[in-house]
Amino acid sequence: MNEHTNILKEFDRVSYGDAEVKEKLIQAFLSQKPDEIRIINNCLQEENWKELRNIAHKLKSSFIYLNMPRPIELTEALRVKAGADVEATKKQAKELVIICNEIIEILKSKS
Amino acid sequence: MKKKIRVAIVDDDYIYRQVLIAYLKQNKTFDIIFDCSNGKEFIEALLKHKPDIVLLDIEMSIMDGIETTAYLFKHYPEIKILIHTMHNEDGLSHDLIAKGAHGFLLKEKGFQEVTEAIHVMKKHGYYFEGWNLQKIITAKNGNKNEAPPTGINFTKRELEIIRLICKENTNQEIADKLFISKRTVDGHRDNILQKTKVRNVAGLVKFALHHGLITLNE
Repeated sequence: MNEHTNILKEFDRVSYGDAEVKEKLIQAFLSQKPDEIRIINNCLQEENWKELRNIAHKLKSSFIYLNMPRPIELTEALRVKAGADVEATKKQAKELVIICNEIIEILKSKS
Repeated sequence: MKKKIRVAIVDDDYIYRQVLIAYLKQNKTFDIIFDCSNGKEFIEALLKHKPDIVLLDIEMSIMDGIETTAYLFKHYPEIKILIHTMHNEDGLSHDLIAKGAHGFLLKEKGFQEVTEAIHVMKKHGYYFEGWNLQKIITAKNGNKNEAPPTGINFTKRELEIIRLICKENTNQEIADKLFISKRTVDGHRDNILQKTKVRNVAGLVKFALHHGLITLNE
């Protein structure tokens, strides 16, 4: 059992029981997030902290509405100080990528 | 029957927009007349429909919230602009208020506050919950010096160089842009660091932001 299983309930919540809206949101998530993960990985590889701060800024709003405390914490840390402590940044970004991938897998398998 | 408040949403995050729309649609006092992903699309849409209030994101790749605010203030002053953003820096909000924004709301406050903000803005024309009134008035009056004064007498050239440093220019790039030698830039840079008592570029950016010498969108 994955700790992000509740993600489907969050999609239910934010779509107010409208199955069409829920499906639209899930599909949008599945189409956007892999690209964003790729950007994070590229930033890590190239140590491009400015771009990493930008993408974290963008990602944070997604996690706010999905009510996911840990990704909110990680994106906030990266948004504000990616690169200040390189090791911490890499650790946070990698954890964020893992979480995003887990969510994608759950959505793919359940939707 | 009471007239619904016509709302438009401009945000480049598609999912965020859809979630917000789904939320606002639950409230029967709102009519979400359209949504779009950047300022350019929004201005084009205004030819057909005019909202009472626009929820406007700041960071968008095509015509961002700052540019859009300035355009709306000039061409559509009747539309109330509620800036809806993740950014909470004073300098940025001052800049937006001075450009004509009527309200400022952080995304992290949640959707319930969006509802409240729209109602307050419709009723009173402004929404700045939790904001220092004096700062707002000063920003509205276009006084960019509301940020804490530096207490330092920078020359015009030093201010130019500070801004260029903060935009990640190297000394050579600054020299090329200002048509001066790199050595002159080195000299200015040393003076600036001495005057501000900061140790490096990171400290200088922090100093410049804190004192309103630059804004995040610069």
